Amino acid sequence: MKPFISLVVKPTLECNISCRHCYHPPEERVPGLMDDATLERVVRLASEEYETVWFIWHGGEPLLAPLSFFKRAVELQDRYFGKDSHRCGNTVQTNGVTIDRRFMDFCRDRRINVGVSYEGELNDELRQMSRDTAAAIDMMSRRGYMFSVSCTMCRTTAASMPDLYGYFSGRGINASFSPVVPIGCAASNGTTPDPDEYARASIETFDRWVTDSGSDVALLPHYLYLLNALGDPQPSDCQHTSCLTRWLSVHPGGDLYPCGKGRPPEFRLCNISEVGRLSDAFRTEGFARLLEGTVARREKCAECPIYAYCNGGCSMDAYHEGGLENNGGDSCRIYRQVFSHVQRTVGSILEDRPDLSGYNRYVRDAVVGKLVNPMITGQ
Amino acid sequence: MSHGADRIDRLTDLYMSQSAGAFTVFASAAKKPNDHEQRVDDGPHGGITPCSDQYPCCTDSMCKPGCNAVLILLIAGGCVCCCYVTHGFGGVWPYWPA
Repeated sequence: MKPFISLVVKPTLECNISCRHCYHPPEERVPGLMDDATLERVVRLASEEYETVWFIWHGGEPLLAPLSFFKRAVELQDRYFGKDSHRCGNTVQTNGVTIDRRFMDFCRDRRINVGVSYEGELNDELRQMSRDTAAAIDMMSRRGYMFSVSCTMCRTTAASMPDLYGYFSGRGINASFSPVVPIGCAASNGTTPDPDEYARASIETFDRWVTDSGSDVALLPHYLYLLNALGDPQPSDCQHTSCLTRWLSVHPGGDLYPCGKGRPPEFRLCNISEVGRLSDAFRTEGFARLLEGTVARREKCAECPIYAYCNGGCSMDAYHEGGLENNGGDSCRIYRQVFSHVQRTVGSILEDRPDLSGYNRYVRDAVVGKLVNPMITGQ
Repeated sequence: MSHGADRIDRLTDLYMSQSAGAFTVFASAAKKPNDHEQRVDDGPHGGITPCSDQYPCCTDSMCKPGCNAVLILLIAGGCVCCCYVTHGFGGVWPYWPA
């Protein structure tokens, strides 16, 4: 069996709000729910070929699917992977507008991660119905449900990233930050942030988090960058995992794409009803085109001092930022600045051996882990 | 077709060689699935449909209260037997009928 795959499953492309940076333009966000046969086929094929599978329920807005859809998905996972087998897990990524206690109770009982796309008081810059999402966040915090927020920063909000971190940190909510990428609706509406401004804000946020000894939250992707800089061999966030052959996105009608970032027709792989194994999608002409461009881009990256950490970055980002075969787009520029800063910070902590009590708990644990395990030597 | 397959194999190998570290497999022992798909009497069970549809005897929801009831009955029965053979725990409990 193959070791692992992440499946971005889109139960529907319909959405109850219209984010200005959505991967799917309005004409793609049509009603229609994944049927039971497709859902069952996804779970069965995944269980037959992969030792462990992470299901990421995305969309559209996945919670426009009824709760019975997710109960059915978990029932199928129990059937095909084995009940309590720990062979698969789930994350639901939602805009939070329709979250209620019933859904959160279900997620708590089935240990399903819930990620809410939300930018606090800046939410209206990219999204709508912010009051509903804020009410859901309040309810989840008050009742002690486990969840995290994903903040997407745009041209007008990028500089506020440190304040937004403070907002969520003060409420004990784990937050991840990423920039708008020019895909779908954001391809030409001017919402992508200035890369240098984003990188500056990201670095300032990291510096604030590193010495935030009172904070009990992880800051992503910075924490993963820090682990990488300390020598953790696991790749960090999804843009830098070398994801081809290990990620797939399943659309409501069963069409397979290499990842969840939109659906460029040239990278449509096939339909799940046409294949006997999920990995057959990696033997299609669409995938060959993606591989070809990615390999060419990485050849240009080979001399870069941090290539071993970024693995050439995200092919979908590159494709939309200047061409699949070209590096140096905004995402590349941001990563180089932010990761290099994280690397320098880690280097100085290891060299100067400061009193770690003034550092964030996550930083302390990571650095102590490195010091007590000298076998971790970095890449 | 085979020319296309060869090309994809070659590209995939090249891609993986460009980031070999990311494709290193870290072994992790997955927990063995429980056997609720298997009947308690080892009777035939395809494993395709959940037990709860056809064999309600072995679902979690049925098993937990049932196990608890059996355990309580065993403990109570054990106490009664001990009381009987020791004639009321050696007279400590004087209400045991002679």
